[in-house]
Amino acid sequence: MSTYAEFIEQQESRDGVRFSWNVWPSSKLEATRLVVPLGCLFTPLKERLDLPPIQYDPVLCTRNTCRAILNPLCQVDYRAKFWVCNFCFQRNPFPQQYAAMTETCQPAELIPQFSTIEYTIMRATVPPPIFLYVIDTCMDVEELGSLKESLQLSLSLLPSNALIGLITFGKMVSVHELGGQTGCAKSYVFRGTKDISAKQLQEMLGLTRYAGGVGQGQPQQPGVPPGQAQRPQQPANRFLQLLSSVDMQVTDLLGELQRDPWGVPQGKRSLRSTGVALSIAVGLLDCCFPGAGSRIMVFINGPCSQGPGQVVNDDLKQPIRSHHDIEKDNAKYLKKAVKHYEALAERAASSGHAIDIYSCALDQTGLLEMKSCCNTTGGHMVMGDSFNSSLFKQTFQRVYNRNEHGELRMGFNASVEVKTSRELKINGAIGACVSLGIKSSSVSETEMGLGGTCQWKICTLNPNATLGIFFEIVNQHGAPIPQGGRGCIQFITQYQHSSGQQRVRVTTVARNWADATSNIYHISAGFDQECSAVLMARLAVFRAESDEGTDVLRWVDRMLIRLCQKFGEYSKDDPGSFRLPENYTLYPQFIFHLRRSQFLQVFNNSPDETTFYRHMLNREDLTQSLIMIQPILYSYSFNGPPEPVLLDTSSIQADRILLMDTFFQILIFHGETIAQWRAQRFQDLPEYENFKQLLEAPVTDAQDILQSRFPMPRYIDTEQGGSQARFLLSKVNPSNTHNNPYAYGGVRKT
Amino acid sequence: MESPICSSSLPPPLPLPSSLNSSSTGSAGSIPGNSTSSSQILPPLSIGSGNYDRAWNDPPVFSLEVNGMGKPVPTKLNKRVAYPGISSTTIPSIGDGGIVTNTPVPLLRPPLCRIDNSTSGTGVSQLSNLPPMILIPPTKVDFIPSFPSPGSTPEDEDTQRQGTTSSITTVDVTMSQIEMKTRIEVMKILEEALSDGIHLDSNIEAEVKKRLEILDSKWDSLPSEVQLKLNELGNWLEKRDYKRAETIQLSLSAEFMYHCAPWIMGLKKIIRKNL
Repeated sequence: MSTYAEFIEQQESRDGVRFSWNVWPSSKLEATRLVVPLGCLFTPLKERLDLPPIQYDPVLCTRNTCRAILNPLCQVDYRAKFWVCNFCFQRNPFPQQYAAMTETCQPAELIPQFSTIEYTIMRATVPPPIFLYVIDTCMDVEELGSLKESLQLSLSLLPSNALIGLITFGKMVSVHELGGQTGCAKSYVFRGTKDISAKQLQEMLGLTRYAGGVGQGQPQQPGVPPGQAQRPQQPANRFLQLLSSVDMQVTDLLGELQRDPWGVPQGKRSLRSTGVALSIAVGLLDCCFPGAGSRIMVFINGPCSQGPGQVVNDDLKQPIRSHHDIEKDNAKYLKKAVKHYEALAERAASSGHAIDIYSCALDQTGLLEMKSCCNTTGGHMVMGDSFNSSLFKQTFQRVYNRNEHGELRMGFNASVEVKTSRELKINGAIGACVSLGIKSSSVSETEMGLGGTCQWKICTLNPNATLGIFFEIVNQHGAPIPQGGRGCIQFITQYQHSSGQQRVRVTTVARNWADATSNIYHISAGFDQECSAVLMARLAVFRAESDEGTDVLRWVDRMLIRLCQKFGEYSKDDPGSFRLPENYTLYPQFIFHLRRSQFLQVFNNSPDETTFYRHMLNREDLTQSLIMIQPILYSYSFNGPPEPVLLDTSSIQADRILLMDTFFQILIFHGETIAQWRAQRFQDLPEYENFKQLLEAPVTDAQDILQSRFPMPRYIDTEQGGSQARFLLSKVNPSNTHNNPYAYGGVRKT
Repeated sequence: MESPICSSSLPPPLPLPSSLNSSSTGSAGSIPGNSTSSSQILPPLSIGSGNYDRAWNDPPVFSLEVNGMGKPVPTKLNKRVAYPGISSTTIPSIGDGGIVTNTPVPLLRPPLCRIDNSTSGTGVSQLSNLPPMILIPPTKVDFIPSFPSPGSTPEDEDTQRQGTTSSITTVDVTMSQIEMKTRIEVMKILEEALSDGIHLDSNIEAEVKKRLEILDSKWDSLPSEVQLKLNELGNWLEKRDYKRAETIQLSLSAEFMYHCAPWIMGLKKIIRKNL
């Protein structure tokens, strides 16, 4: 391996792990002096096509307090058939099945290239995935029509062994019975002003628990495809039915769905019972399928305006809360609504059920209050203008994205456990997860994010879902470098695969220890500025949820200054002398753009927008998160191939086209001259074919990005002086303004 | 004064932007509703523009294959440059993107494309010599829908609502490749496929038949694109290629659900039972 950059890239593609520091200081004191905490971004379901299919159980360390899994970093005595755990140094015998193992004939879990390996637990019984649609009907006919079409399409995208349910709501909440006599739709109607407990719901609807059970016990039938073997013999109730038996009925039901029949007087909002509808959905799954992989998919066109979870009243004179109202403690319904949705999120998470929110409206819909539903359960949060937009339609289609085997790209009901060497402890995790509250010797007293545990639950996750995990070095200053010269971390992810299998993915990584007093150069060279920026962004956003905005900004600034003091080279009182090592050069930019981003600055954003942006930052992988922090800017010209340019006003040139990717928006900006040429339609003349191709190049690149992004970003095509150029101007560093036209990047004086 | 672009009479050697490769051929369209983009050329990946009437800066429409079945593509444009002078080792130079000159461009027109009839060479210079007609793939037919696209005078309310997904639809087959069948022929194929192979539960079969009857009765009111796709689907069913038939069924669901909702599940049942 020639450089740290290559090493980092290789580790990321192999294990889905990036550390802020790739050489670890051997003492607690030295670790705190590094300013940026030791942490990692871990993508539990990182797509690996080369993983061997392993259909036996993992071998565990026999020490009860350890239970780490056999991995390539363990020492193995092939003759005596023993292995030494690399976490607790316990000597463990191999099970009988490993008797034929030799140094030249190793099981896959001992081969170094399989530091990440996935076991399929064949004896586990897993019910099929459940999709429960919860649909707001308080919307105009056109909106409802488009939503119905998207939902009808989704019935063709779901696996046929999935279970499906339907709840609609407006002023009342209707739970639809499926699988009954065709042509005779039946539903149970609940008042939208009164919450229903799970027990009441069970009694009222006559719900019974799924008989198949969840977890381990019954073996899979040989020769029967997984997932199909576990079809329930009898549906648990009339409300959640096998898709293949009710798809035609559900299509008809959706087709016949009408907007909420209750009239809306002039000057009033629709009475919308989102809180009760969600409570009934959670209760329904809680009663029938606890522990089964499920998605509650909520589609809303406006805020909840009555009953528990209400975020605004029905009087249009009263606007929904703004950041200013929240700051002044003038948001009447906020606390109560947040409490309601937090309780629902906890109930759903404890049963392993995810909640997705698809919010399409021009005004706010209460995402701020409902955020815990998505953030705690790992569900999607999608924010758009209209259900009749291509943004929503395509985003929704991408929820059902499939892999090359035709299986949904999503896992359900996952738990992530972290095991560490003795010298490391876990501070906590930040991501779309919930703490399982499992203490172990690896858990630190100091919390960062969701701490006090070594296990977290993620009710649903896709290949991009990423956790930020923070660690603390507990080795005392002056103590020798720990045994073995390197520290180890093991991530154990148990989840329900979309094919219906229970799987366990094990990732074991190690990094070298170094004495910071004598080898600071090695530690410094192992700094990963990209990972560090994302981890710091997650920490800052986590703080911003509870602290004052200015305090968070000050903290971000202070941390940057301290890092530059520690690793920069400079002569006192000579700003021009300041230099940073090569692997730190982008870090100040990342932090600069972070502190002026929508994640930390709420001005000009609604509370719902802030919630949505922060939600995405907390769940995406490193590459995507970094795009959110510092947008990518490419310049296209006749001078050469497209090149990355500074996110700075100096990059705006008359003869260039810029392509900016902010994750949430893809923007193409035509410089003044290019825009003039385009307006004069030079691209239509055969002799200016090159100009036509120049115009097409950023569009093609933008489409490449648009193809794979989730959720679908907005697409902006603008030019110098165009009103939408403001999206570019708000992101670039304003080095060149009306006050300093000849500053850096401006026209040079001759 | 240095100029990044040579004079218009002497064009610079054409560059090779990463995206200007052979894939940049295809159908053209425009983004309606956005004044700055009226002349914008949509490369072939998208099959229509976003719904600018309902949503702000709506992205272009891609096919269901891209949205649902497409493999995630790693981000190609993910490089950044550092401010010059901050690094203790390297300082970006002009052209690296680190320092960008802000020279005014006095040109009145873009540099001319070099006309060179030699076939050797690669990259843009070669591409730019190709006559524009070659950029249109011979195997694709662009259908201009019979109903108005967004922005035009609405004559048919129903079809206008479909405008977002079907304003411009590219069908991946030429007219000659599709053996045009009559309604009766397509319906006969569907009925045969229903009775072929595994038998469905009698209740479900009755439901499927009911949906086929609805399709039969509504055939004449269906847009031509839907009829064409049903023809294609019939062809694949006849050839017992159920995988391709399923792709057509999904494409119908994604692009024309408004017209297909009453009967599409019947087709799905027929295809799935034979898959």
